[in-house]
Amino acid sequence: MRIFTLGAAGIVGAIFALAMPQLGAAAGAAEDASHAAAPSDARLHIVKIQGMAYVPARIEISLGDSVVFENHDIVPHTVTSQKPGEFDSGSIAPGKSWRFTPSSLGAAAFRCTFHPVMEGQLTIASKRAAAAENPDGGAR
Amino acid sequence: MKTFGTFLLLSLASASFAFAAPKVDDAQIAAIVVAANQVDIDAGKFAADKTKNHEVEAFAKTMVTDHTAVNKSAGDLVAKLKVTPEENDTSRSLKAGGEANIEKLKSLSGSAFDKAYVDHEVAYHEQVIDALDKVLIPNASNAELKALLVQVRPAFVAHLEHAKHLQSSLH
Repeated sequence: MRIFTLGAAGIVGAIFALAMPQLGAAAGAAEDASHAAAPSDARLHIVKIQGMAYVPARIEISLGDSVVFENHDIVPHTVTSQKPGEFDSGSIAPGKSWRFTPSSLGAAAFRCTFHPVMEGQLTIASKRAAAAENPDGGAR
Repeated sequence: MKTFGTFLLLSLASASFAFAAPKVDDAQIAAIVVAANQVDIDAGKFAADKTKNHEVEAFAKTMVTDHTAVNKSAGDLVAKLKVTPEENDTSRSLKAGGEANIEKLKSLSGSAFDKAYVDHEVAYHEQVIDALDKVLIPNASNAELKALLVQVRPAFVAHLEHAKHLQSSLH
């Protein structure tokens, strides 16, 4: 039984997920705040989890990029695709982070399984499309 | 539920009155925070064990995890600040209300149990958010204690939203 209806971001994400190939993932386990260096042509995007929200909540990256979700709250959170089996961080303890490197194009809405009011959307586009849409946003 | 909600409302209203003069101090605030979280930890443990509803169980476990984390942060901070939590009418009322709630839940089962537990969670979180806004945060004198109260407020709001969604699915 689903308790929550998808917000606008979730609906858009669901449509993208249906229209695009399923996301593959090379996901890391929860790690400390120090992050391994990304490949030279890839970018590292940071999403802070704080105040019971993903900041930013909508992320568009290029294929090959990674996203690190940093938990700055004092309670654990997850980053879990709303499409079952797609990706799931598991519990990210306070002060820890989870690095996710998708391996294919696509888009997915995600949320925290512990706090379903927390929602976000991750889109993996081709490098050219992502550069046009999001030239600097959130990348390190 | 309404009984508990009324009880908690009266407790916090009296706390507001009491805190107007004399002003509540940080030691009393610490005791209130600990009591408020412990009440929901106890209710969550009880509900997680008794409910047959997976959504209610997941919610109850989250309450246990989150409120335990808040209490740990509060405990670490008061230890650092060398503040000893001071029991007061509000903290004692919160504990008594929590015990009464669990006694009531013991007599229920199935959907009646789930509804009573979740109804209580809605009322509890509404009243605690109100207390944070009107009593606890304004009266906290130590900057770190005030910051912690501000930091935990979004968790209570998220819990309330979660509980309300759950409530709407049960009624």
